Amino acid sequence: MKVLRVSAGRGLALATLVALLTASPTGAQAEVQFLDHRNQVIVLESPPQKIVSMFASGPLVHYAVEGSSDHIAGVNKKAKAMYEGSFYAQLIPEFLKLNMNVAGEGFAPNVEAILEIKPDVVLQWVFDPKLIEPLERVGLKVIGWDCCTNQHRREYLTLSGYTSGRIDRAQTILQKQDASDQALRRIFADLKPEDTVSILVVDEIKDSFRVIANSSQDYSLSGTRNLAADDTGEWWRTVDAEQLLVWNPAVIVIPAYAAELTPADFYGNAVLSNLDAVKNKQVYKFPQFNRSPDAAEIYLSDDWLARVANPARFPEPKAFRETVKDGYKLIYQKDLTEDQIRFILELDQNKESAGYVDIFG
Amino acid sequence: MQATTIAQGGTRMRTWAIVLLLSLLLVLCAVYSITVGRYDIAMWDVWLILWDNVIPDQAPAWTPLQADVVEVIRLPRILAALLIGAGLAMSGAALQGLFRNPLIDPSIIGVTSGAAFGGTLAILVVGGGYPVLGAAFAFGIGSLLVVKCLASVKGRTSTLTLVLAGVIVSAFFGSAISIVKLLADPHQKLPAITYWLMGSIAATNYRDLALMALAIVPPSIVIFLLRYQINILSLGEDKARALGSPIEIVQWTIFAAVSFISAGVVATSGIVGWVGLIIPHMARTLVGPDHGRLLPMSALIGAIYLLLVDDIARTATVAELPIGIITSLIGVPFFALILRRTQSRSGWAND
Repeated sequence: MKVLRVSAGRGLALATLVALLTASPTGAQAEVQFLDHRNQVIVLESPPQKIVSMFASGPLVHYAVEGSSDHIAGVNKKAKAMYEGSFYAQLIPEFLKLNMNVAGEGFAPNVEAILEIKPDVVLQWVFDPKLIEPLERVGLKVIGWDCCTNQHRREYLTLSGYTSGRIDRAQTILQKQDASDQALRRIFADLKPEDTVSILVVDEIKDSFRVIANSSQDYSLSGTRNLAADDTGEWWRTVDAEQLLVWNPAVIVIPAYAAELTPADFYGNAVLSNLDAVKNKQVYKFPQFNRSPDAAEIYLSDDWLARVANPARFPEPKAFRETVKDGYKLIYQKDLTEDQIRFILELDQNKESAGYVDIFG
Repeated sequence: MQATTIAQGGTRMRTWAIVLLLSLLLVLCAVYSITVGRYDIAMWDVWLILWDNVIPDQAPAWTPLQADVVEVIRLPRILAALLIGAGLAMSGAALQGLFRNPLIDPSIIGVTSGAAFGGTLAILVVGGGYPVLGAAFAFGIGSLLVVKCLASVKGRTSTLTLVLAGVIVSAFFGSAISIVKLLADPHQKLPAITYWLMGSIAATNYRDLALMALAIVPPSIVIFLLRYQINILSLGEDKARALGSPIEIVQWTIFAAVSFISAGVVATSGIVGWVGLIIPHMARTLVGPDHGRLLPMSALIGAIYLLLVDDIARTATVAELPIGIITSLIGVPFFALILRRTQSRSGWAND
């Protein structure tokens, strides 16, 4: 069987696999070989019945592709905080009952606890070989996931497609993401880089301010530019208040994972009171679909940010609620209620922020 | 007799000249510090912004953002640096005189560790804000009481017992801090605890400054008022007793004052080490061992020193460097130098 490469020649690999699966009426049970992010050949004779993930986003992506949590057998302890404190607790409540003893707050595996589960595959990050070696030493099959570029995130879907035998679902979700990106590109096609809206993504206010510097997100999709972005490869930068005033962004956004930080914290901060974003009440909390950057619905974040930063370019702002509804229906196969949409859009935290209720309320 | 009077007059003149020069330097450093930072503001604009508080300008040429940088961000931290530097340096000078040992600093009596534990415990339990300040201060003062209980035997306290009691209390709270760190959430609270322990005045506002002044200024005045008693005690306990000095009262009043300053500093800014150790040495080389001159001189140099350290802290990188790291980086080699010199002179000069 041809080995399917995830990172290089993905299109060809997908086409080959799709051809293979469609040739068989019981495609989901066909043997599949593919390369993980270590370029290691993974052979699955049939879709695994028990999957253990060493990180929170593994079950999320797998659920999106497979359409159920039946085969997720465990996840690390840190995932609990993410699932419990977010919309996932409502969306996939069964995740709260997962075995979370397989790893602690980090990604170091608790090998004995994992062996008790007897998983068919274990999903593990590849950035540190020491995280994988103890698993393979005891004969466990490990699928390595790399982090954290946009391309990697697309490939999480593909890897989950291969793993679950539902590459068709992975493709459908990727097509949805691509369509959204293309629509945004058309909207901002005429926007020069210097005319984009300056933003900062701040996730911590203490003695210093922590801002997102990682440039893996394509801010041009939302007609914005991240003033703190750099090419060092570091995810965060910690800066002092003066640096924030030097940047003086037009819009500040707070990632959804920064659970304790709200726009009100900025509006009530004397040091920041004369920042343009604070003065004009343009500090916004990202909605719940931004909770995990690896999750399949993350593409909605670009659309949301585009509407927040450039509302004039969206003549039908209310249409976004339908976009959210469609996205969750496609990915999680669940119909959102109005209350759930309000919760996802963080209407309560953003109610003070300029235009938010008009656009999304 | 006449020669002694002339010599004393000369020393006084020299001291006044140094005080004047250092005061001028302090003002210059403070003015310079207000203009230093990531946000570029011309010195003239800084003056206009400050002058606006005296006579409001109807058509200001500066932006509200510039005014915020000067008055909300830089000014409070500059005043905080002055207060902390002066307070810690005076504490160190008083303790070095009291213990007749140039290698002593305020952390020796266990207050710093106690306050640090209180603060870390509050971060673990509550997360931040004024409970951290209150707990740090309470544990700092509490640790002094423990040290007093451990060191006092039949109403008397020997210097050695007191130092050992301080070491015991410091060791205990050091271990307790390790336990708190172990229990803290590694993603949120542990970094917060680690950063807080390294000492920073980055987020100082005027309310913090008022609390800081409350903890530092009155005890500093008390220490200064006891300058002659410290001079007597620095001759040695036996001589001080023979001269009729109320040793116990002076000792514990100084300890209490130093504890208030140390606990106040840790509570508001985390651990800022080494200032109380190295600054009195610089001051002693300028004005000699008389605490009437040494204490104010230490305060002046301490204020200038911490002001410059804070300038480095906020300009060296885009991130804020904790001042405790910089004072340690400077203090450690300085300490080694003092150690070498005191060894070559066989310890305290009066022994």
